[in-house]
Amino acid sequence: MDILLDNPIASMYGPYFLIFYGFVIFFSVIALATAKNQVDKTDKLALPPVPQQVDPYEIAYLRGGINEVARSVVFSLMQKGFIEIKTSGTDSEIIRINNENFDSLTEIEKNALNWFHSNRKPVELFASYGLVETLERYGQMYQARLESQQMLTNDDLRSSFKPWKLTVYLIILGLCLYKLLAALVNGNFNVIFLIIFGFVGILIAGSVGKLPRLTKLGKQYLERLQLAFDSLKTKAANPLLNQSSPTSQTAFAGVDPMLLSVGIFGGAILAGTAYDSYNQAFKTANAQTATGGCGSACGSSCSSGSSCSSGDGGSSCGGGCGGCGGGCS
Amino acid sequence: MKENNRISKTEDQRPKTRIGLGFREPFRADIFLNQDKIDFLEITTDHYLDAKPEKIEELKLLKEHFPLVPHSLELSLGSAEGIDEDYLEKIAEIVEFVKPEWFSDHLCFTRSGGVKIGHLAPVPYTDESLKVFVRNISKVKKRISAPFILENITYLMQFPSSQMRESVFISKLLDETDCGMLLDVTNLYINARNFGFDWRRFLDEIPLERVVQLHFVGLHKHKNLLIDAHADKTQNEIWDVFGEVVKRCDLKGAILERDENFPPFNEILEEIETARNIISNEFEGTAKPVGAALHG
Repeated sequence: MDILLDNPIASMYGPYFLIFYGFVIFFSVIALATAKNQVDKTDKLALPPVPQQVDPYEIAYLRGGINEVARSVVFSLMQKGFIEIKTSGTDSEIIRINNENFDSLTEIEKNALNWFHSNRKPVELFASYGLVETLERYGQMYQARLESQQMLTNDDLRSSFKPWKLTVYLIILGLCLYKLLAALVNGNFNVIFLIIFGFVGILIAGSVGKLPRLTKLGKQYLERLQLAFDSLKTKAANPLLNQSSPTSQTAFAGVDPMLLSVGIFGGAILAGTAYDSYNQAFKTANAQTATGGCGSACGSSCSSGSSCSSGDGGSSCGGGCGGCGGGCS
Repeated sequence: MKENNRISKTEDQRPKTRIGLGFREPFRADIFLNQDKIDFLEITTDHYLDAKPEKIEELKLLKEHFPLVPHSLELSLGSAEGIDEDYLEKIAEIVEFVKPEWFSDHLCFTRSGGVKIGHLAPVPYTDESLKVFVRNISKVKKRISAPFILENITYLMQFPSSQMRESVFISKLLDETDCGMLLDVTNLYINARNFGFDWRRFLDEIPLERVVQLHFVGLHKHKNLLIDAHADKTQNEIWDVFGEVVKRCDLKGAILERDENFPPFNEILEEIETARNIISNEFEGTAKPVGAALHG
């Protein structure tokens, strides 16, 4: 028992222990970050080729989760003439248009269109009973497919990383509790800094120990798609392609280049184009949703994807919850 | 071409002639969305010299999805001062990375007295020019092992000092250097019209068995002059030359070479499809002796 309370750590002078403890936290967190990098070995896998038939919604899901799918579907419905966005000042409203040409819609678009039985605010898309919830089963499908392709972090990856995380938590928390106990037994009650150090250490470890939504393979694949389809950004700004004539656009190699560009790069690509109202509406929705308390949970999924760094103004995910909510769980 | 490289092939064994496109950055997305309609791509090596990492990534991406053939602009094979060793080294690195079936440059000079002239300039067709080309090409072939093919250019003047016709000059050069030919049918037609010679006779005089690849694109009319602007849709007269060449020689591939005034991509695809149709029609109709150049 003596050795437990009479050893260099237990009897270390408080400020010196805090310095020592700070180093322990620092190196534990470094080790955790290294382990996080090492545990994801998907970068050793062969990168899938760029498909000729690209599903813009799947790419949107890969980039930012179900919220990005919802945004892309809204864009497609708007482009095909089923809904329009009316903007007045900072207020936007999505209005359904009478259009019976349902054959031009895919299954996911038909489901989404049913949700627009009345006028909607863009922010409602992401609220309870919103479009995002309506499209959840598509999200589950994309999630399962992308996880099986090891593009998204799956349970196997999480469980192989878990021991590292627990070990670091144990070290930070264990040392804090032990020193706390030793201090109290020895009659030292000025332990507030020790508690603060422990608390901050756990917070940092928790943040560093969060696996990104996209695996290395997923990130590389998304970057590859963004490189392959980079010239779509120019197309989006091309007045010939911006006229609201859905037929001329949907007939292109089976994939709509505008929808594909929204799927791959996000709605911010439409800034300054004929579809600027879409971009403006979702910018506002992002701001409103963000103040609604999505909080920091979005940060990790956005930072894991390269879409944020594509230089499109950030609303593809930087706008907050709207762009990553689906992947925050 | 050396005799031991020759392979006689029957009509049935003829390789499929591939139809492709000169890669230009604005086409990138369209190319990936239409992978099944484009057999191969020609990359301009000069776009990847001392390139930014994004361009290198682009080259890797293209290489993983399409067969590539490099096409360089500045070897300046007609320069009496010789080959720019640094440039050759850079081209060699790109060719080694791409590992193509062949690579190409032009029958011209682009550098004089160490200064780039920014233009594909013709040379007088003399024995002396021939020696310069032979010397420079042998240096290129010594450094780069991939088969090398040479492209005919357009010109706005003919040298009075020329001792032979272009076609004779090309024939001699190909024989002496054992190179293949990249026949630009648009250039051929433009020169023939601008200088009043018969392009069929040109075809009669060059070793067609050495023609490996074609370039085609529309010509541009400026008053009475035809210009190779790479900016127009391929016209019927060019398709006529294309069809005649296809009828008379065996090819590995043909490239649509569009550099400016880009149309909607489906128009590009239509031109590729037209070329494909001409080749398959000629294929069905005629049996031809198949030459050796690079078909092994």
